[in-house]
Amino acid sequence: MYRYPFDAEYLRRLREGDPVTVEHFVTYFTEKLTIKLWKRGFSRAAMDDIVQETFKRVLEKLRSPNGIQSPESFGAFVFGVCNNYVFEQYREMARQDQLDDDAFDLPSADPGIEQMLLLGERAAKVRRTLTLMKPKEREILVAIFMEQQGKDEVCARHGVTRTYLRVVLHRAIARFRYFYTNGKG
Amino acid sequence: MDHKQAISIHAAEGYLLGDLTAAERNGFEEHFFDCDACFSDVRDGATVVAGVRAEATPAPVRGGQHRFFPRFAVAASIAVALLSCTVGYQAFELAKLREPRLVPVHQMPRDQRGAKEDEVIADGRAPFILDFDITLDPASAPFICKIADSRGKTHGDPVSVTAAQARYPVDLQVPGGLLAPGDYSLIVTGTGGSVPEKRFKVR
Repeated sequence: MYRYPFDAEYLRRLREGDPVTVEHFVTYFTEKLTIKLWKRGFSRAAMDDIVQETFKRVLEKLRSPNGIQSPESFGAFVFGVCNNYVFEQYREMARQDQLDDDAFDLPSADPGIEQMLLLGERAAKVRRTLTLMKPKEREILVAIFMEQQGKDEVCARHGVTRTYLRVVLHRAIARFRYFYTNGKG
Repeated sequence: MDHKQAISIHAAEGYLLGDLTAAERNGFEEHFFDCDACFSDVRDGATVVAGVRAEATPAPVRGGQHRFFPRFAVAASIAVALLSCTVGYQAFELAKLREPRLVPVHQMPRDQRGAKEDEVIADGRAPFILDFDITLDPASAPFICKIADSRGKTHGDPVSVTAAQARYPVDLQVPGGLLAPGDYSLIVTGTGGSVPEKRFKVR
């Protein structure tokens, strides 16, 4: 496990608006927040709103008299702030009958997010990964993520378990990393 | 959720598959906000998921029917794109590929010798696929596939096909508008020679 070494000194620099620290904070957490919110099915506009509001609330807390008590758990704190705001949004959406729990299952098909993930060489390496996968495993990923078929149905058709689905995705990730980090393919 | 637990249950993969319970999902999200290793698993997994969606292209069933299925999931079929040289055109073509659409597949005769001339006629205004076998000795790979007009001029960038890819039928995707109406040849060359040109017409 690699944990970024947030400490009291980091939080002090952030609180005082040190440009390098602020840039790191924004970059480091924007990616994590974006993936989390993409998974929850929020629109790009809603994602941007939640990310900005999260940062605003974190910095407000940082500058408050009590501050943040556990610098080493700063990541979990940012997560908590985001979650609280997301739940506020959920309550608002539920009041407007827009909340659908089933929508927050697979990551939403968001061209903007997907373009971000497939920048540069990553797209070519993913393509290579998918081309070299076993046909059965490739069919499984396509059925689930592209055709949005039910996972139980996909498992029954291919004679595999739900746990095996995680193994298939795990293998694809490992192969992608091999091509991406070794410059192969 | 701690790191050891996240690894043992393949939490990143379960997270992307939507297979975690609500408690596991919240616990794992809180964990990866602090753990770069697990976040990398999520980000790279999300990249693979995005790639699956980006690569899915509608293609027809052989015999003139059309249906939607990912091109790389076609049994024993490798798709290669024949793209224009300009980055701008390529960007446009990649963007268009993300939209669901039907693309006709034209199966080239296995052996052009003795085959009826101009058997394949494609509509050049829209994208189409040329499906063909490479029957050259695998030892003479890589194979260079290119399209030339009746004057011998090559259109688009030649595509390289490896011996592994050539074990299966090759699907060459031709962007719409690349070829003006006329007579063309699909030329496949290996290091040891070439196959008879496969002729087709564009209208």
